[in-house]
Amino acid sequence: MIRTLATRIAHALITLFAVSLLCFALLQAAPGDYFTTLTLEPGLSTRTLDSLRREADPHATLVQRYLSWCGSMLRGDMGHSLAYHMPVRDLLAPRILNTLLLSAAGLAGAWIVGLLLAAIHGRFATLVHAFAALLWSIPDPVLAFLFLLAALRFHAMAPLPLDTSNPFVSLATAGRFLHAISLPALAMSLGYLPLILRHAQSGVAAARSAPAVEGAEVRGLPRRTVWLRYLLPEAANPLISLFGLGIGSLLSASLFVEVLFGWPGLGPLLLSAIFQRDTLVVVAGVFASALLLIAGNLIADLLLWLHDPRLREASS
Amino acid sequence: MTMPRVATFILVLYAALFLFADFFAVTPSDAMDPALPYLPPETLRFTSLTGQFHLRPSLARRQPITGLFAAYSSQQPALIPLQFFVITESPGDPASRHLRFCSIPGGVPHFLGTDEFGRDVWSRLVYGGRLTLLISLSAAFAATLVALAVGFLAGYAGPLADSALMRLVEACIAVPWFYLLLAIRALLPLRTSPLLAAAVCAFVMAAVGWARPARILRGAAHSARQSSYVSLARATGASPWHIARWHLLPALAPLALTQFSILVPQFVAAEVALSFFGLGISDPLVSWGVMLAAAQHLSAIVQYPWLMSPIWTMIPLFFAIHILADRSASASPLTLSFLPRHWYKLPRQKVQGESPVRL
Amino acid sequence: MKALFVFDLPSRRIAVPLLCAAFALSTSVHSASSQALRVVSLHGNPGGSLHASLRSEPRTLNPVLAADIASRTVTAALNADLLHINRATDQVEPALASSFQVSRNGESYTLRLRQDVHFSDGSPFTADDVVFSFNVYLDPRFNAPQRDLLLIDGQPIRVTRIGPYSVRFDLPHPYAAAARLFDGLAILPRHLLEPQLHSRTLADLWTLATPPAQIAGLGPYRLKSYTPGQSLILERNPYYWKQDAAGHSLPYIDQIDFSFVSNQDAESLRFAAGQLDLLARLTADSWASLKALSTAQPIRELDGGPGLEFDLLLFNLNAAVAARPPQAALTQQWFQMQPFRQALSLAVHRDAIVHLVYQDRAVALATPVTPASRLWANPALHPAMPDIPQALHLLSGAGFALRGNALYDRQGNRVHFTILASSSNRAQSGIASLLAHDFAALGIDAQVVPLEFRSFLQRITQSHDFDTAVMALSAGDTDPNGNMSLWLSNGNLHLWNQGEAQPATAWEAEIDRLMNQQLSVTNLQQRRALYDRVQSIYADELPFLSLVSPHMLAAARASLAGPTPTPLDPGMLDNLATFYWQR
Repeated sequence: MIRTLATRIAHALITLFAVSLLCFALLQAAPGDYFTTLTLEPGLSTRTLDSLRREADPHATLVQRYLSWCGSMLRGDMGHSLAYHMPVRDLLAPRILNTLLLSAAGLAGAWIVGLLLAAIHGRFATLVHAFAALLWSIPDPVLAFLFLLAALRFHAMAPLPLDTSNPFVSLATAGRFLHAISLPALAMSLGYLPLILRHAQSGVAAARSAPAVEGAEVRGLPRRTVWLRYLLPEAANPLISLFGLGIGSLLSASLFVEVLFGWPGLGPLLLSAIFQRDTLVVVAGVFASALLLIAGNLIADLLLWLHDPRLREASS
Repeated sequence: MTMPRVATFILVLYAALFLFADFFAVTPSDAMDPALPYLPPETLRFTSLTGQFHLRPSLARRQPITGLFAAYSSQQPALIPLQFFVITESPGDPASRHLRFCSIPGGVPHFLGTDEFGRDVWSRLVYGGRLTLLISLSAAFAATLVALAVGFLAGYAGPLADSALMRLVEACIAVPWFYLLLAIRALLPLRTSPLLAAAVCAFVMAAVGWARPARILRGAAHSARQSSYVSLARATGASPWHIARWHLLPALAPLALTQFSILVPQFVAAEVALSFFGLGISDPLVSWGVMLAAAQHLSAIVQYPWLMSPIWTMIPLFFAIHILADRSASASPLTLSFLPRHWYKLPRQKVQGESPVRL
Repeated sequence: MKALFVFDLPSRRIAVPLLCAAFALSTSVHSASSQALRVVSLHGNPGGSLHASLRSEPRTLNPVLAADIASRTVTAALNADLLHINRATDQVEPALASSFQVSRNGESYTLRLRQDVHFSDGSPFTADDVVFSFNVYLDPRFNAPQRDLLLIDGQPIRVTRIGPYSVRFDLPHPYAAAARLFDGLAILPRHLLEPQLHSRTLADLWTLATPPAQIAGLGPYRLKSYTPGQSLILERNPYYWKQDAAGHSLPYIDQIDFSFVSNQDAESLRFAAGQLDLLARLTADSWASLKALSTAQPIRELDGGPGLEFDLLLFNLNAAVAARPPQAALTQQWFQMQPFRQALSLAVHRDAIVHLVYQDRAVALATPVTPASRLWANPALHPAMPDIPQALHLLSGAGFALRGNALYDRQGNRVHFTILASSSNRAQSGIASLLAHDFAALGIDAQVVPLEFRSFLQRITQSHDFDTAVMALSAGDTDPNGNMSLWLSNGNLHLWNQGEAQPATAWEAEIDRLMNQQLSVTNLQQRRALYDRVQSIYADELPFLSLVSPHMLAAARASLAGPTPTPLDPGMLDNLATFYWQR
């Protein structure tokens, strides 16, 4: 297991290297840079602009720039934001926290509802199925947009400004926080629900015909025992993989909802950084998501290994 | 009527609409009428002003109120009898000469109202749908094909190739595509023919969209490979090609089909983003993505709700595609009977149940 | 996992401020009697708080570096200038300087400062702060964006302290320039910034991470708190130096909450729900849809009329670009022909743009001088009315021929070109579509090419790889000097032909001469005559087509007194100190 883990971590490092290098290369390839809009600033002469450019980025080539970034990353310094004149880390940290809060709430909601709906079978299963198909058929942005409109028209949106910094100091702030997070989290859940539903449904359907489950049913065990002791473990494997995938998308899945609902997370910041070519903020954001993506896979594999004795045998 | 049957019906209906777009649309998609911006949908009447019944329906046209923007008089609409099966042509545009299913003398009936420049929403819906489906179906097909190939390779080849391919997939998911899109746009000539623009649009979608389905298909390929029938086939000395064709493909095809149906609506949304980068569809062509972008505004919803018609039009279509894909994937008898029998003979559940599916 | 792919950006106008240096030479002495500035005829109610929104987070709290709308809005509330332009009368009025005097030769300005004025942290304001501030603006080490504005013929203005409450500004030579230059130049607290400037760069000072206690200004408000990604809260500056007629210290409103709402639709809905009190910089369609929303409290829709912003169609008249394909050389050759540009202008339905794109909330233009520059628009020039026969006549005179529905040039090439537009800006994409439609009437095949904003700008200002482009510019001031960088052939907004070492044409040389001449002319009538001449030359040559100028649209809660849209920065919030809640 330790060997497997070591190789996985080595692979992860390779991926991170590739992703960050690609990110730098692509940023270089895109037309315009952070200072492009300043060329139209009336008071700013070309000379001043050039010295601003040099001050912001003294490196001549992509390789130099990348190596210097790697160097500062190793020291734990993610660089400076061009737009905000602030260390990227200080800029990202509070927002990552907010994004994680929202994504975790949204994904948890989707998981709970998805698993409950997957347990339904018989006549209503068709209905659930149709519901899932409907959710698949609406493009995500349209879904979130319709949701936002409904929420705002019925005045269900929490008043501004939101306070997510320390929500649970008192009952009132906690209430406000729950009010604020409920709608964006719900919108996220709706986008994520069909995926979970699909996997849970097929997993449960497959597990139903598994010998162990059929055996338990034949023995006349109570329904609850059959479900909890036999069926769920049987159906768990694909769901664990899916769970890992969910962890991987904790930072990226909520981007659209955040922008739409004005949630103070990573989404709005990254989006504006992307359009402004605020290089290091973009790289840091991409790096963080890649890290999470890899970590999610790793966690899923670890859980699978713990859950499924077959895998442990295979690896030993 | 069962769900698949309804779905098939819907699909046939849309197919007819798009195949004969020139017939069902009432005017070219880019024909502007600056005098009628944001005209609400026009209703049909079977009675004359005096209350007499007529078999030939008339269009109730309301007159714009002068001095106000997009305001139309609510009293005394002019009743214009509809004409059916007319050959029409916009002035000065011989290419727009087509047989239309209906028209009105000296004008255009606006069954779904008009947009900000007085363009007919119904006609744009028909032409836009045709282009959107062309692009998103071909892009989804290409993406699924690539995903299938990668899934095969990763699932079947050795662990080295597998992990290399999965690193590639991970990198593809994590990399910021925005900049690549901008770079692609910068490389293309400013003036692109509409056909090239659509092709680039489809290509970019496929190039960006293959990674996630590949991850899922690779998981399925992995479990299929470990299944007893593949081991058996291998033990009997079957060639890799034979195993891929007769054992892996049947196991993966249903899943691939579902992935395909999931990609299609996503690509319609993606097109909105692509037009933002200058890689999407732009005037004079129209697509549902373009219309969607115009509909996602507060003003469209509170003042001009008819602009949201592409949303209500696309949902049943994607629903139908999804239901059909799902149906044929879960091996119940058949709606897509043109697929070879062994594609659905093997239930997907068996494959997933055998050993952990790694997504 | 569904891929998220769509970006919904607020359809933000691309407004680029032009040079805002403008003076009217005067030897008179402007002064105010008392030390605290008394705003007469104002009787408001103190108290309450105001909820406003910003479309993006401010990038900095440093007034020297504030370049985006959000940062400018916030820093304008936190800081004050020596002299200020009254937005209602368009005249310069005393602010931190209680009076100013111009020497007879027009080369030096002596400003007397108000005494007993304090920064928002309680420390006193003296001439040292003024000298320090201008040193920051002028020292080339700091790369302040305002520096090049304060250069006259390449030489900086010199600032001398002549007493604790008196400062002299020396210009290198008589410059037809008065107090308008001082508007918006914030006076910085020397005691807070000078010690830090030795160890850090200007850009690192007063970022969003700076604790509020370390930031001080002379504006009506001071920073209370900032929550990343969410809000910025300002509180009343107890040391503010303006009073109302009753002797009550301004500002009236105790607290301003700026929330960051990037989505314009969400902003409108929150306004309708009563969560926001004020909406600034609305697009015509959002403004119109406010009527259709049911609002929690009565609201007031504000239409400030046309501002300084205008939409234009830019022709690429830059010297041939090496990297471009032969087709580009061809289109550039057409644009070089004056009759061709005039014919295009005659094909444009400006009233259709006003009607369809701006829902009648805009005016058609003949020149880049919008009606907001009340004194300066040439009354003899009128927006061109569409006249296709005349346009075709001009074209055939230049060797073009219309065959069937297509226009061909002398060599038999089909006339076609592209119109760039920023894809995030709905108004400009719409204008581009309408223009393509209009040009089709001349047999020209114009294709709209929407591009992401920075790619768009990169082509216009750096690679010069485009045919025509729809964009918006905004003059920095109502005075002609606010348009210097547009008119002068070496100005950085001389976009149709950038970076000319020498004027490329005789008429550009003439414009250069007239604009430089009006800088040093004292008489208003003479300046007007010179500027009228510039506009006539423009209207004849048409290096770009001035299309329309949109109205400044806003909305506020009906019980909020004070907000009026104004053309100069920071727009509606300029007189924030005098806002109050009606009882």
